[in-house]
Amino acid sequence: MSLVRIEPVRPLRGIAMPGHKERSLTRPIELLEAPGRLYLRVDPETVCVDLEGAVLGGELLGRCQGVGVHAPTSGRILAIAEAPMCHPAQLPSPHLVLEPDGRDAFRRSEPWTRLPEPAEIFRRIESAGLAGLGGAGFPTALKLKSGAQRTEALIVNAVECEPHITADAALLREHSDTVLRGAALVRRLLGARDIIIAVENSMPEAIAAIERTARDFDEDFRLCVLPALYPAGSEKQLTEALLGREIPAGGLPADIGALCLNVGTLAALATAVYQDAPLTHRITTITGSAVPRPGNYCIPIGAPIEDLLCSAGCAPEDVARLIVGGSMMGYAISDLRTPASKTVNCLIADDAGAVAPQPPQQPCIRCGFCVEVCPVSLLPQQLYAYSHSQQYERLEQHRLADCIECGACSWVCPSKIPLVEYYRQAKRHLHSAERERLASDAARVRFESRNERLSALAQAREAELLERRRARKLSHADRSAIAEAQQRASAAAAAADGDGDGDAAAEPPQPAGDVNQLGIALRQAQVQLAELQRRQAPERDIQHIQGQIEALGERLRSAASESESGSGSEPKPESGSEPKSKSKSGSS
Amino acid sequence: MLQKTSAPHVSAPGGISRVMLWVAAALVPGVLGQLWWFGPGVLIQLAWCVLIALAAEALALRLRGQPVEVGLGDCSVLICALLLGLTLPGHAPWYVGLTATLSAVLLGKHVYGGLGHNPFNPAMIGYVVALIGFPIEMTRWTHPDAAVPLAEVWAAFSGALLPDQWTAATALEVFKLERGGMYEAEFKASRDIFGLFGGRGVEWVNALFLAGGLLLLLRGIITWHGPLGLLGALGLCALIGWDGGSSEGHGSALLHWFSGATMLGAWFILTDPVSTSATPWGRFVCGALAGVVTYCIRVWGTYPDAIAFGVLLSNFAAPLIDYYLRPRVYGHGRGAGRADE
Ligand code: SF4
Ligand code: SF4
Repeated sequence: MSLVRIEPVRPLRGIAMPGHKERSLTRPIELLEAPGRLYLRVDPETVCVDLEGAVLGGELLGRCQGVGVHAPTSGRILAIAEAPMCHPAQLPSPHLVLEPDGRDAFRRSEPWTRLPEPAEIFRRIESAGLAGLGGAGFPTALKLKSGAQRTEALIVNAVECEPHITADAALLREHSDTVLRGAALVRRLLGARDIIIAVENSMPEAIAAIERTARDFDEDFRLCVLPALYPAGSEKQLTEALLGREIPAGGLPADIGALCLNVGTLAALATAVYQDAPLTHRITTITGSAVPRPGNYCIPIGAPIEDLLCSAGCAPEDVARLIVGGSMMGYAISDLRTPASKTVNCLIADDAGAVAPQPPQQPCIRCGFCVEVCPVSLLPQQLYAYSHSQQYERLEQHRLADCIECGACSWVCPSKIPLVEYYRQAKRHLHSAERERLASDAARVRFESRNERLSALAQAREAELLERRRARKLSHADRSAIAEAQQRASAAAAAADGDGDGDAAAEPPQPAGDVNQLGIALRQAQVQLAELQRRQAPERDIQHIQGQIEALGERLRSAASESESGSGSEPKPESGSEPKSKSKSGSS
Repeated sequence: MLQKTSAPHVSAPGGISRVMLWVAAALVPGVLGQLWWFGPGVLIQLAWCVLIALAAEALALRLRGQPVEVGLGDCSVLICALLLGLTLPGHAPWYVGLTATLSAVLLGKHVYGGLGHNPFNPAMIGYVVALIGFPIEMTRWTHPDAAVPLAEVWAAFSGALLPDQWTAATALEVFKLERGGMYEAEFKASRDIFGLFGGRGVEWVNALFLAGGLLLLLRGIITWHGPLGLLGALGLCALIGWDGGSSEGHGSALLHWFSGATMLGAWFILTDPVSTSATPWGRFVCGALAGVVTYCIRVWGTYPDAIAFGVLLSNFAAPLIDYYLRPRVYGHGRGAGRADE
């Protein structure tokens, strides 16, 4: 219904840096056909289609870290194979290999014209494989849940502050209605009061498109046009500028009543809910000096980057460096066969001429340029000094954990110090130190509980000796109880002794002559066996106990048939592996 | 083979040398002013200091086994030499400049590990060494109106003391030493060393350095915190100590701002990044500290000017100030969470 322009509540801080967007900004979105093979990263245990079977486009194939993976087109699953992961470390990880059949047939979908209950909508969102398309790839369903009931403002993030990326601008220009539909839907689902669309002033066509399509909606939207400053699009910066509140350290935007969703994510959400089409394609900017036809492409997820570059007219052998993501926070990969994941918003392929040699690193002159640009008010030069000298306590004091690794400090540094690289290393160290601490805590707990078990064992042995001494004086009728106590003690010994000296555990139960006592002994032996198997005790002990059980079973059977001839009511034990029937016979 | 660069993959154009050259450019108006009022001696001092500094830097880098071109290429030693040259009297003999520059480069910088590691401003170390070593030569300033013949300038540089007829006590010295029970206006009129609002001649030099400083501020090379702290504290002290304007007083804020090396110190020396605080408010406090110290020494100390001591003392306190005046980090403490609750 109405679109109100608003101004940021707090002034944005940031760097006005060359955007390098002109090459792709105005290019229309071009759909790329699926190449000869698609590689979709999955957790192998979640795969829910036949290997070597045919699949249809949009079909659920499995999950990857809890998020559904769907086939971008129809074809045949060839195998699960290792491929480099779309991640800075590029570790080989399992991917489903899909060979498209060229028909591009899709599974039957059930588009909704009228929305059902929220629970049902949520179910569809959960099953659509939605993840944050802005770069972080956080599962959208989880994000929505984190904001349920407490979101006041839904922030539609179209602030593409990183150089080179124009995917969001292109999406808004061509599909702003889908984005707004998604936003309206999320507002309804979460009960949010406002929708604030944040765009950068570098995308005039996108702004015009929003203004045009917002008229067709019965909703109120707010539009905030921000200056093109880096890193204005980060969640922390954006919420502060738009709402005047800071996300508490370690907290979520939901803690201050905000929810940020990238425009791409919202469009995918709207498509998933209304069209019943899961996330299988995304818009990616392909640019760089080695790309003759830079532009915004709608790519099938799972396509090898090499093939995508070829579709944009780029010869892979010309590429000297490939950055996934923007030039500030993206990462360079070393293998062009890496398949594109859901978070790939930009590919920058540069030829050798455009990759400047990294300038030599000079000492920090403490000019403070980095301090002025840090969006979270850290002291990058101190963090650098402490990372360099590995003073980890100081680093924690100086809040290294709050660094968003935006790289603004490295960008301005006249000494060309790769500051972010130092922070990453220090963070890694701190993380592993934290893990070690946790591990040593766990080890301590284990050690303590082992001590407890050992002392329980000692006590049990003492009790056993005592019992034996007393047993000599006891009448025949009490023997079964004694046997049980002994058995308990040795079972405790077996439980306590995981490291193999199972002689006490393997102590054969001494059965008495009658059926009841035999039954008890058998049951105890079986419990003992199960315990030994669970602890993976030495084969010798297990066989010993199994022998005992067989012998006992034999004797019990003969004893039972004897008594059967008397009473005829005793059930017949089948074999040594069914403790229940034995225990019944014992207790009856 | 694909190259793997680390993020960010781009960086701002220019490096340290660009920053330093901007500082050098911003010094130009002040240098011209000094040339106009105090004669060609200033150029001789500058050239001499730069020459020695480059040689000393190259030598030190060589001895320390570091690439000489990179060390000289960052132009930091050039700035150090220029600042030092500007604080020396124009007619100081050659050995003063030599001692000061060698102390600055070797003692002030390389002893600590070179660029970025010196806790004190090297130029001020050089200045203080020269001041202590050559007290007479270092306090002989020419009268701003004196047209010293070139031959005399050269003779002074080669070691002859400049004849008294060309020299004069500076405005700050006069104010400190002379007592006559006059109104300030009367007092000032009685001495030709005072100008419109500061020391004669030197007030314009200061104004030009102020202009240069503002250029740096505009270029984003320095922040306003340090200079404002120094000038603010100095002005505040002068205001408190002002007795309405008699010769018995300690001088007005304007006099303090536009005499001696105040503006050079506030905009160029105090703002030397390496040795001052690196946090915005830390810089302010450093500046204020330097301002207070400068005022105290100017008024009660034995030296007529004290910017150097003020700056060195604030350098001394910088690490501590840095530690305690860390900015509030996003999302921590006040301001985190709901601002409107
Ligand atoms: S920008 Fe670089 S040189 Fe300047 S203070 Fe920061 S880390 Fe040091
Ligand atoms: S990378 Fe970290 S320290 Fe550097 S500017 Fe960004 S948030 Fe600040």
